[in-house]
Amino acid sequence: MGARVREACRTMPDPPPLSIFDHVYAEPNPMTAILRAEREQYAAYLDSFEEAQGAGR
Amino acid sequence: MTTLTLARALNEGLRKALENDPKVLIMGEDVGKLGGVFRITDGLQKDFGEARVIDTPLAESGIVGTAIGLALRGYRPVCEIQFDGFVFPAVDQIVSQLAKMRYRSRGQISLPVVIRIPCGGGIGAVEHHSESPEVLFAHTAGLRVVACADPADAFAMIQQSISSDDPVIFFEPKRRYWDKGEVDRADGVAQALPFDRAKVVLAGTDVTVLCYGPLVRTCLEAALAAREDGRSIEVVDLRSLSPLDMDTISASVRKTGRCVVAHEAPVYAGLGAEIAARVTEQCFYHLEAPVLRVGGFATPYPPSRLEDHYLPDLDRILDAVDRTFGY
Repeated sequence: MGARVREACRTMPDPPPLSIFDHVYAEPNPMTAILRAEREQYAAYLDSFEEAQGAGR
Repeated sequence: MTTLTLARALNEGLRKALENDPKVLIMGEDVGKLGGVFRITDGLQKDFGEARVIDTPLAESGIVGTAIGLALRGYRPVCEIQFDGFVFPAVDQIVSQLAKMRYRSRGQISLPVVIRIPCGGGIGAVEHHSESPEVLFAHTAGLRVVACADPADAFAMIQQSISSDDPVIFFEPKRRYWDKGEVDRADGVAQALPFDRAKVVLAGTDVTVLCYGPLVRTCLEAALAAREDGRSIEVVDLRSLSPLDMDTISASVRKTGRCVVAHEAPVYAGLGAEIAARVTEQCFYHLEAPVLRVGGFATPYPPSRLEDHYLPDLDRILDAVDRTFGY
């Protein structure tokens, strides 16, 4: 079982970068606006790199 | 001068402190026989004994509470917290007792306790092992909060912190433990910059980048990259996070006219906000652009596969520098 769990962890795909902003709060609140702004700013930043275009965020 | 890693420089600084003052004690989880999870206290119990280098139970509140009692009886305890996120069980002792005893006793009781905390991310770990809680302590009156960034400062600042009669929260950039640098072991402390002063680590003329701990090296690398584009960045290592050395900060910003603050901790309500406010108050007529901040997001520390996105790197720092020139 341990071997199966380790293998499953190792082969998990990398999470999309912008998922970093998900699941912080259960309900919308003023902080979610700040998170949304940070998310949009970081998305624009990633888009400024050609390499990031195909990263599948 | 000797070349040491930052980890070894801390070890040598602790050794000096133990040699120079019999009241200095080291205590923490696995600091004795094992030498600490990062081996910062390696060999110290063997040389100074179990009464001065003390393995404690896994109980951070108990470690700090015991240290407070020892300090009340004249000792100078140095507590190791294994990882940044493990300090939270000790916050009650630190904030409610350690920080306030001097004020509460009208100056009659000082608590010279040092709490060493490996901080920050970049080692492939997760929450509790990669956090940057410095602002919680910087917000607490009665504590000094410092962060070393290179071996020379690690060696000197740990000794200066132990010599201080105030409680000191001492942050160590864990992903820089293995960085090497020159250390003057002979008179490193006597000649060293006071631990509450910031330091210009790279002079520049176009923009000031303020940083500390693990991001000092990153900002230096960014400054060298920017130089190739003809942009001159002055990098200032804050070293002391509370109190802030506003004289050094303001002098740099008045010279360059632009300021970026970089830290791993979340930007939201972070130390950069306090610095930005003070720089704006003190340097308003010298600023060519608003003070910009670059740091972690307003989220918990992410899983390790996302930490490269969370942590400010060379490109994100240069992106902030570029934005200051957009005004």
